[in-house]
Amino acid sequence: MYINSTVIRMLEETIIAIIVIYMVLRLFVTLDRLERMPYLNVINFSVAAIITIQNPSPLGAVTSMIYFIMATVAANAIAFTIDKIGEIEHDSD
Amino acid sequence: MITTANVLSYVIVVASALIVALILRLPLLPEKPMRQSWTISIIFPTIIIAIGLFAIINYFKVYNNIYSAIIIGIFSAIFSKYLLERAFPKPDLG
Amino acid sequence: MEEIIAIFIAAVLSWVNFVLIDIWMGLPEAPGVKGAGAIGKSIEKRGGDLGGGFFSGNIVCSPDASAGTLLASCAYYAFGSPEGGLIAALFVYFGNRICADPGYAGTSGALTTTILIWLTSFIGIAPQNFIVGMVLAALTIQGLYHPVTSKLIGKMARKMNRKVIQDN
Repeated sequence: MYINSTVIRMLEETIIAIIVIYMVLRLFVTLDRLERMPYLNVINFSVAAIITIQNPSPLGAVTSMIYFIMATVAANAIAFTIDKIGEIEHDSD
Repeated sequence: MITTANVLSYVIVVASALIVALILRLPLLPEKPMRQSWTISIIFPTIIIAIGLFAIINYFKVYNNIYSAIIIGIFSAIFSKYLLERAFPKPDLG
Repeated sequence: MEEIIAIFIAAVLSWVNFVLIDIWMGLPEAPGVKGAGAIGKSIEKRGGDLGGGFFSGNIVCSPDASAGTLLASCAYYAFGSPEGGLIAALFVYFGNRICADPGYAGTSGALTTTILIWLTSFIGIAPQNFIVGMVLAALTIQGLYHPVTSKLIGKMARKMNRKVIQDN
């Protein structure tokens, strides 16, 4: 096991916190639904990373893996639905 | 970090998975172009499943011996031939 | 200060790792699932490259080498030895099967990342640097400015002979 000093972990947590806040702000100002999906993907990456950084144990790694895979399945469903709604609206008018 | 005993047990896992998969007549490599084929072969995913499962078992130091290495190799070959298609079905490309 | 240099080197290495493996595995060629096609077309409509758009869409909708790199570095950090990377390769393979992907990109990304982390551990770069480095690499491709980054990915894809497959 790697023994970390708290200063080094604070640097990485600060970097990830800045990334998350920037992506959330960009999510709020973007209106196009499909443009929001990659920003959501970056947030999924950062949350999966912070789960393991805060819990440097096997449970943290397994939780991070399961969270990331389920978040990817969810993003898949969201993108598919947005496309389908666009097709339905396009066919109806 | 990586002791010789550990690498030897991984070699045993890979060898036993390889032997059982050859007995069960799995192909060695998927057909070209490799990145688009769904066929189950020996290199992929039998060895990946064997190594992954043994890495999980290796974490529990009690089961860290040669018998579990052979059993996991046999199990992963049988699993990837018969049960993989049922557990994780191939989607109809939609 | 050395920590910032280590994070920068790890970010560059994970960027190169996941972009090269994803382009080689054909992500810019075609959308793997329907949602990826929608994201690709929306990036093209905003002035980007269609191949780069399919690349971003495939990263969003299915675990690929970027997921493999991130999860392999997380597991390597938590387990303290390269066995974590092998466990991550197994999980990413099952995740790929769930998301309608054959699974080659994610698993190869995880295995090459495990080898990379083990090699750079001899020059003082630790696995947690790779975790943050991968998040930074994902930010540059997915989160900054889609038209410019998709054109870069499209140019690299054409150089590696992976053009968009025209079937419609």
